[in-house]
Amino acid sequence: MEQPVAVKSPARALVELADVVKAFKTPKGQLVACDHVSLTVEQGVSVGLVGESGSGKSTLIRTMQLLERPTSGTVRMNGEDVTRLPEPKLKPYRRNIQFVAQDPYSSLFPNLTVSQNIMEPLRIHKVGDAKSRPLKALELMQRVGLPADYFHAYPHELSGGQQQRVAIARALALSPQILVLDEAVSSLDVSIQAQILNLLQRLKAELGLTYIFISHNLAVIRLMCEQTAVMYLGRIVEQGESDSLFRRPMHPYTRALIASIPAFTAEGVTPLPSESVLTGERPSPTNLPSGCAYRTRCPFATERCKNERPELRRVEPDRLVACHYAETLAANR
Amino acid sequence: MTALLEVSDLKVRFESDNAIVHAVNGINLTVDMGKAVAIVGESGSGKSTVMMAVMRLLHGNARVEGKVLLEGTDLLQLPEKAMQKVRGKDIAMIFQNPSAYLNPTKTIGQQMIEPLLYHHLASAAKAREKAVELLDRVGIPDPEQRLNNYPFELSGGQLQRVMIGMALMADPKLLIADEPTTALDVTVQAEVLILLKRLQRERGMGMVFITHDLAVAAQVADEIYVMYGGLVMEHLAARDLVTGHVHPYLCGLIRSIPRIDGPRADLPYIPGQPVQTAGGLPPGCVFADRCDRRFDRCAERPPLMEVGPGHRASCWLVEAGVAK
Repeated sequence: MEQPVAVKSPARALVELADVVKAFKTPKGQLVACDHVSLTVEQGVSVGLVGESGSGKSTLIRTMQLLERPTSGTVRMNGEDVTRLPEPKLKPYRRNIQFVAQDPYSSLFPNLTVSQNIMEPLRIHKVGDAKSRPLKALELMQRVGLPADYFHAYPHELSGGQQQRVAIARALALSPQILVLDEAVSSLDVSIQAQILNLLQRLKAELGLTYIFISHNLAVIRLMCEQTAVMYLGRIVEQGESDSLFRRPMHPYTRALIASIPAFTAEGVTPLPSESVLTGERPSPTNLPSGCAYRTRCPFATERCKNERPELRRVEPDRLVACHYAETLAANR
Repeated sequence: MTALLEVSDLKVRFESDNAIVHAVNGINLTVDMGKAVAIVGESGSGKSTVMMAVMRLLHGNARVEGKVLLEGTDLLQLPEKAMQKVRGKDIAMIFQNPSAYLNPTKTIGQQMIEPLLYHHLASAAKAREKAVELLDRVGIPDPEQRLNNYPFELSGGQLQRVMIGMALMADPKLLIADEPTTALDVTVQAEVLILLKRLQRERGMGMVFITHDLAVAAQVADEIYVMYGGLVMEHLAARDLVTGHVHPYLCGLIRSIPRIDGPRADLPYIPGQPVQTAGGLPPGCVFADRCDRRFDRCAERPPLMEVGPGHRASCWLVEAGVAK
């Protein structure tokens, strides 16, 4: 499979979002889904995105995929500014970034066979011809571990794990640089989930892919992604190297998030958090509080958090945090 | 400890056009007064069917055998009229998707007081008082106001709280929760789990918690039943889940879950596909064809065997004394 040569150093930025704002008009007022978000995805550095529903993960991803135009800010792809490019010119950029959804069955065409599903992107982007496409589909099926017998099968004849393999094969058809995985293993049973995670790890290494992985499962994010970004109400509140971020979260929200997610460790399962970790009101996204958006739920909030909005700043060489008290909180754990 | 619910040798079969689905194949399960029990399994393992059979909510094409004793009364033998007096009063149930189980055309208040009026337990005014009190207990702000809201006016997490409040209206002895937090955000899930656990303890209520998530099961329950192919593979105390399990199926499951402190490497997984319950079970151990420790004994189906106090597993390795 032809792949862009992986640049070892310096790191190559595949997608750069700079100060992206995306606002939607709703009957209840303006909803800012992405609020001055800057994020750079570099070749070979997969990014995990975590956050509750409504935190702006999907809007961020849709902006990256050029499916949504930002209200302000710029989107650069492979160094080129594509923010205001007219629709027909976006097609060659879109193929660089492909998508795997949570529910494999509803993301596949039920009326197309496995091979037709995999060939669909090739057809749309006019890659190859009637002869080469089936061969490519067969090669992709092999790559994702689907037996060739399924070439003419329909999606409903496959199990959930196999359907997800078809979706992954389809996403790989155009040899993208980036694969967006939106809760791609969440609907699968545990034993199948491990198989798909192994496949994704292997593909990442073999094809030099960069993932953007949305998941509420932090252990999965840690396994697949070098970097993690935590979002809250449209903003990135913490970003850094995955392992150190989960080991030593510096933003109070990241802490609460980690505490609420049950996780397996060598000794057992982490206990339920104490009630004090999760207090306070969730603000309405159309009527955000002044200052820090998290202050209504934050146990450490002060007057300063009400008056002054904390910007995302570099607290350590590889850690960005949007909290006035990141250093003090990290010190008094 | 007295048993609140005792399920013995429960079997459920569904007759469909082309095959008989053997969903549940002889389950024994006990819920003691004031204890929380989790039933864990992958999709198709029969975990939800067991409790639907207990509540007698299965479709007409289901054939149910065995005994379901609620404080000594066999629910499967009760006439339907008497069963209606059990549902919502002695046993209450909450589900994964609250908005599908709430009536969109009635207010929260109307729906909450319904069980009390239906079972003739209180007057409308008294029931309303109780609804306000319970909404407050489950952490809904302005409960008086909320009673006049319709379900669509509340968020998913709040609706699940309303469902929990509603389930507790008639002070049930047993609460069955079928994946109650699967559709919720992780922080909301934690809040709802804390709430459920607290209410269950305070009220000394029995609880059956059905989930596919082993970690959630370990957090909420005292005991865990692990199901596969409509059978219990292992029954153990929740605190022993990670360190004390013996069944190869459970070993495989736990090993395949990525750990937050684990290495960044390939995950060991269970090969093959889950056992098909349509058209009957394979002879012998249902897990044998995926098991890396099978031996000639596995041609015969193993019963649940005692591993230690409160710990049983359905595997011949236990008898051979070499499990783990």
